[in-house]
Amino acid sequence: MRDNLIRLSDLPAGQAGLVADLAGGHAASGRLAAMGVVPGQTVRVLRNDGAGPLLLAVGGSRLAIGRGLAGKVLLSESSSSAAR
Amino acid sequence: MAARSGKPRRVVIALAGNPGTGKTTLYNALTGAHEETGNRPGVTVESRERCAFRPGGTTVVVDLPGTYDLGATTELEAVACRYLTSPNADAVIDVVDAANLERNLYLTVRLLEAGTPLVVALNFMDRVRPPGPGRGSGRRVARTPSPAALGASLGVPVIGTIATRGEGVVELLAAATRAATARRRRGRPRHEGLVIDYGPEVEAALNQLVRRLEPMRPLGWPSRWVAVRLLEGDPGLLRAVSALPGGAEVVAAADDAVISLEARLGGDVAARLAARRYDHIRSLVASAMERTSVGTSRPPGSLSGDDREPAPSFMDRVDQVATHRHAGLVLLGVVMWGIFKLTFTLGGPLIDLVSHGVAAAGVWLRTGIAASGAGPLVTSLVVDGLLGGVGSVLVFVPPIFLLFAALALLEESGYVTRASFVMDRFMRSLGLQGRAFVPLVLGFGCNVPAILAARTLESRRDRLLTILISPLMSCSGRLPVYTLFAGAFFGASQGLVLFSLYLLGVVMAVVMARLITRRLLPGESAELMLELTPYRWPSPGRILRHAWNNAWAFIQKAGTVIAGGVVVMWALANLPWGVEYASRESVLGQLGSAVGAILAPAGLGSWENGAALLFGFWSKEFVVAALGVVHGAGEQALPLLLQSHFTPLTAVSFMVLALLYAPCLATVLAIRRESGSWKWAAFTVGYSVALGLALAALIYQVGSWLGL
Repeated sequence: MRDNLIRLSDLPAGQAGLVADLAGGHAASGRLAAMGVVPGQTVRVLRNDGAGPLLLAVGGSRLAIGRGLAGKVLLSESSSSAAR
Repeated sequence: MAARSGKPRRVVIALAGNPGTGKTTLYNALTGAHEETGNRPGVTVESRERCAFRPGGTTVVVDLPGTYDLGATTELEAVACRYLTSPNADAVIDVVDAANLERNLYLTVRLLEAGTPLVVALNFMDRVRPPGPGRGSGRRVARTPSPAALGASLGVPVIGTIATRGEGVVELLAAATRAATARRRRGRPRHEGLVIDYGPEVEAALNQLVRRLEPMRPLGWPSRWVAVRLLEGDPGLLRAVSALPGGAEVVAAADDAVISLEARLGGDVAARLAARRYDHIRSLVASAMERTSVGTSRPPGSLSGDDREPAPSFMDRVDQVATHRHAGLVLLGVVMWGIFKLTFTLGGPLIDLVSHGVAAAGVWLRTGIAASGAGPLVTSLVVDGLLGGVGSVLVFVPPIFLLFAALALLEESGYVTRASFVMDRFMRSLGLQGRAFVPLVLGFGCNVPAILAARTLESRRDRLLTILISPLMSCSGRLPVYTLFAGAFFGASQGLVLFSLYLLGVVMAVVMARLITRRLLPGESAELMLELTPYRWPSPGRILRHAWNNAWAFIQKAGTVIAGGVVVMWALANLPWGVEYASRESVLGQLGSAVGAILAPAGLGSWENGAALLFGFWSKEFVVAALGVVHGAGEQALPLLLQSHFTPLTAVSFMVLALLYAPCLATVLAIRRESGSWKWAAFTVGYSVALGLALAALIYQVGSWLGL
């Protein structure tokens, strides 16, 4: 993994981050992209219990994604609560 | 619009769009159909078509399952993608959720890149219209997209609609028909699609591929679109192109391009392309927004409110509880218990009511037939056989109606996607994932739709595993058996007995899922990926219709499948000619004795039990009717009669067997169809019979030993 990128699965609830890359190969990145998780998009973590799936706010929608898949989303710059 | 001569009389338009955008509601509004709609992905499990009549010709409207992209990840999406990437439709209506424009326009842009003749239905306009958000939608949208402005920037007609109220439907049909007609006139092949600027490096690679593809005219698609899909590594298209003459070299060139692009761009190529597509979409949306600003103004380019902290909406507040890892599970338990209570507490008295009606009909029929001078044989067929058999099943219409109403409530409200979320961890421990929870819950209504709903799962392994265990969910067809026996033997504690049986089915499903994962279908389930649908006030009309459709199907089944089965059983009970009705010597008695021999270890060795359970394979609710036929008793006399043939222990044994012992014929056929082989259908019958016999025998033997 590249420097200063963190996995979405490591981002605690209440924090937001900017998607930098998707590292899951064709199938995973295609699915994520179609759901709006693409480089340049801000995602906010609504729920991350350290195990089990994560709940995200992406654009206008609420997205539940498995922990393994969340580990393939790499984020740059995260900030607590809001990205601004 | 002019166009009189040369206008094709019949054109085909397809409805495409993300799950939950109201495609089926629009389909119903366009064609006058009454298809089921719901607030979860995957309500529409197959494509269907119906005509919408218009002056001067017919427009065939095709409803497709929802999809987020043109590259399918589920069987269900594949249905939509296959249709959309084939030249079947003259035009496509892309149904877009106006309250979630960016994400929805992704599919729109994909379709436009493919050169699809498109009309956009900007649905849920009521959710985005000022002064406020739609009640209960849980979303706040400060700015309203203007259909005209969006149409201008997309370059295709955009019609604002509110499908639930039929608003904009006439205009939509007209626009789609115009687009389809124009398409027909120009001829089929699609050559040009929307061109998005993917940046210099990608464009160079695309141009090279396009040069190679152009002479091949691949599959009637725009070469640029094919090139984009090759760079993304779409497996279906890679296969299709390499099958073309000279295609293998193009695929190899695409592979090389991906490797060098990845090195230069420093990241996943498909992700970069998608990001550029979203950039394009953002600029489209920015120019389509009307300046009716409610609330704070935001900088251009930031659109959907994800990058500022929105005030927690109604949806988020409810989800604080509904998706909590502990509270969410407790809530789910309470909801399931509520469904159970509703079905039986409210359904019980209604059963008695219908039962009185059936009894009255019996008296009336008997006197009527006697007066007509028919012999005792005919009287026994009509009154004891048909009315007794059909009536004993019909009395269960009320709880079945309530059960389906409760399941519809679960779906309509949008809660069911939260249930998938909180169940994901547990389901993963079984080798499944959260989304598999929905088919299993539907199984409480009927196992057949449960098996169809498994199409919403991504991997074949997950789908198969869900199909194999869903018959263990105690369906409404088994409910008559439990109610009959629990009522006859366990009076006060019958609720507990019923609940235990449902629980037993679930526990057995858990056990079997673990076993099958370990022995037959090793591997991991696909990762959860699910959009939580917005909460919605359930529409009483839709819930009642859903419940009534299912209750009516049940009534029809009683009139056909059950009635037919009763006649067959009654005939077998009278054969060979001259034998005493329903005696051991009859054909029915002999069949029953053979089966009964297998049931002996479970304490159910009589020919009557054998015959009833044998015919229960025909359909589970038939077990009750069959007991009526073999004991020569109508619906009212049956409970009393059973008390002389069963002990409480053998009653439990019988109920457990009825729960587990083999899915009904319709379910077996559904398993065969959905799994694609008889092997899995046979496996399901085999394991469930073995499981049922073993458990019933265990209960009986241990119970006898304890002196019960």
